[in-house]
Amino acid sequence: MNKMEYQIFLAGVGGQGILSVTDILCNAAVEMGFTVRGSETHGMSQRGGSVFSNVRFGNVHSPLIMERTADILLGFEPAEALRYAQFIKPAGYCLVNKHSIPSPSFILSKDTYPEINTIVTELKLYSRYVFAQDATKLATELGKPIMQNIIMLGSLSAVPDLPLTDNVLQMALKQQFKEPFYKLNLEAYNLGRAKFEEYLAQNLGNP
Amino acid sequence: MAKLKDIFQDVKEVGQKNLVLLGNEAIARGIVELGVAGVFTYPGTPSSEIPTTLFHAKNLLKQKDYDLYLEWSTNEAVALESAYGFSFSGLRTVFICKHVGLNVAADAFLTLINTGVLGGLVMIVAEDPQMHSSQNEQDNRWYTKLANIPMFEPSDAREAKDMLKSAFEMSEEFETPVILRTVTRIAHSRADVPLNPITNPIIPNNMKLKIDPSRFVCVPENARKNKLRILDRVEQISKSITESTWNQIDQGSNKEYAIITSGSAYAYTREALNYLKLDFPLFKIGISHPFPKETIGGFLKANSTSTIVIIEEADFILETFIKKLAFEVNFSGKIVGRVEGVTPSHGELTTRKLLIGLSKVLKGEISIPSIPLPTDNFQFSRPPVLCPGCPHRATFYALNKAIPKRHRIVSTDIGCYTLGASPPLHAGHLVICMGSSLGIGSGISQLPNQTDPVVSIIGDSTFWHTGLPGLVNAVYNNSKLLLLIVDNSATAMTGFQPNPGEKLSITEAARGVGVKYVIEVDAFNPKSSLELIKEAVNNDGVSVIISKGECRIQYVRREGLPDTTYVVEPSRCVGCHTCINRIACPAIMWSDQKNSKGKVIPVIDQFLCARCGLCSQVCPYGVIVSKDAKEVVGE
Repeated sequence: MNKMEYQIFLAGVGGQGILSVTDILCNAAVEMGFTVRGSETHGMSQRGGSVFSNVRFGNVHSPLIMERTADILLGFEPAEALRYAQFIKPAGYCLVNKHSIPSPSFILSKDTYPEINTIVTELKLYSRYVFAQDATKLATELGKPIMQNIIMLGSLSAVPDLPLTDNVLQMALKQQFKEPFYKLNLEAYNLGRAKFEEYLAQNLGNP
Repeated sequence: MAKLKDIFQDVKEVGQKNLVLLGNEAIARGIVELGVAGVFTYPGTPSSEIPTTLFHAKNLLKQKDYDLYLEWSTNEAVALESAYGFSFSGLRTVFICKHVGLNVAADAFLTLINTGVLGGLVMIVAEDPQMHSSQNEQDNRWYTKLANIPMFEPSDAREAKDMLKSAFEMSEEFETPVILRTVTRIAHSRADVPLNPITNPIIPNNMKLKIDPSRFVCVPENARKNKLRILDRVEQISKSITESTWNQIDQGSNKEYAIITSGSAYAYTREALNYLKLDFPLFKIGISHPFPKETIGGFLKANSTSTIVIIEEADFILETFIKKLAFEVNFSGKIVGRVEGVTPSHGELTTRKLLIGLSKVLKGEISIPSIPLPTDNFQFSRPPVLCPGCPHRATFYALNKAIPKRHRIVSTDIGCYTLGASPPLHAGHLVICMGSSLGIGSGISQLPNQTDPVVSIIGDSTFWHTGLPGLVNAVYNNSKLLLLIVDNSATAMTGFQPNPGEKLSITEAARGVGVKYVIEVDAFNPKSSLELIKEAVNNDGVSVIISKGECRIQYVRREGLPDTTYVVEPSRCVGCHTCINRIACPAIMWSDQKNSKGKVIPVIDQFLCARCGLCSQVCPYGVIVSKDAKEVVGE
């Protein structure tokens, strides 16, 4: 194996299907012959709390991504993407679901949840490419809001320097879901992929 | 997480296939590769997925004719004692707990280590630096010094499985229990792990135990002999590990510095050295007790002109013993570690923290990527909360209505319900450890001139774990307190393991130890339970109220969501916000609608709502109403 390493930081809220996407990414990476390391939130902090997961492959040892080095930050919730923004590298890709999930602590303290556009602008401070979409809305239109995670995965699959191929990712997706659910999830994946390809076509020349 | 059929798949050859596994899944796989016959545990994060994975695979293992006795013991002390008993069969036995669980088992542990064992006994103990899901940060490597027990420290999930094998071999060869130590970033980390074939345990047809009472009855005369036994045993193990590949030295090309590290800290050390493109001699310790004195002495000698850098996670135990050894072997070079700021004094280690630490001791500049300063104060917390539909929320709402928050003392306990101590429920002033609610409450109730009612809160699993002796104590000492047992029929926080409540009745137990006032209430009917709580706090002595309501996650998984859901009728909502301010259910949010008086109207998020209906009982104006779910959310 060469000295390359690739790192994906996933951030969101407990219950958003982050570990499911982690499974798919890890399985795809091992299928392609990479050494894989990762770490994730379990236990108490999972109960509606802030949840993250790290996927690292290539020449890696520790399960944790170092600040300012992640190739991709996959944010399933905007405020959570911002919470972990320090992990993305300056030339990295930040893909974020614009659908916000305010927590009871926001609600009780009457703190206002930051404007989504403010969050997106702030994310640009950390990484060169910030792609924001309402994946939850797209997933709801497909019939299941929970599938926002697979829409985000689909978008991730189109990141230009990603060493995991579309083909292998689709295989890992198939492994993850039973037949009746797989078809719908594949649709979500392809939709997410198309959305990010659209963004790339518009922005890559002139980010 | 990997699928059970993948984790327990058959492979013909050793290391034939790599599978991405969670550290705990890798250990579960290791347990069946090594033919372990008995597993004894009480669940605790970050160790719980080891037994839970095996538990869920029960049928799968049965199909493979694998005979595994898996016990959810009532607490860690009982679990370790039972594991010890089981191991007299000569069959391989595992005890599993989280770091504080070893405190519960410490009495048994610190004596049975002296007698040793007759069959392989490995104690898997998972620590939680940074306290992701724990009440303290405790470095259990200190226990190895107290107990003189061998310890293996894996540096990742893959090594955790491999070391389990070595740990059993050592345990069997030297008749000693052995600890396998993991931390959150091993237990809950993933790695691609090679699989070895599953080996079924060989259970003798006629089980005959050969137990020598002169060794295993720990009266002083025998105990004195056992003390000599353990000293001799550890001496022998010390000699045997001088050649162990788990204590491994990499000769570096740059001898200005030489590094000694162990277990989880090794991975960050490698990352930091790769980042800095430095190649120092590196001693990676995998067996940290018996302290590998000779090998470390040799390493110090070989690098006598280098500055020795010690890198470890949690406390500075290696450093303490290495500095002592350096003095004994007249090592005159410099040794730096925690004291010099190489590693942080608290929290978990990370590559960045280590780089910052190394920048204090390495010559020359280290460039650590800077983190941009936020343009605004974007601080927002998202602490864990009681789930939508949680029965504890309903119980605490009733408690708050029955006894004013300002005029009560509430000692709570360890479990999901600990989260009820946060605003707005405020159901808890004190919590330290499993089962402590009763002792603390009882102690406070004995104070002269303290007139506020005392309420102790404990969950069903924790009640059986260590609550019972506290209840006996409170009854015996005539403490005046209300014990509120929040019985959700689950050990929910750690992932739904069974507990004795499956077969035993808390009501009968409480009556059996002499509590006169024992009643059961329905958690989801707070109006009726609050009247009973009001009555019970005025009783003399101990009163027990068991608030029964099944964990909503467990209920919905089995039964599905009810057909009836709840909605706020915006046209009638007065905007009093009682629902939000009293129960703070994550499913109730601010909408962007206002009523005619300009008050924001709450809305129930139908995706999050678990349809328990508590909010409709809380709303003083009856504007949260039930509706056919199909009408509200469609199919």
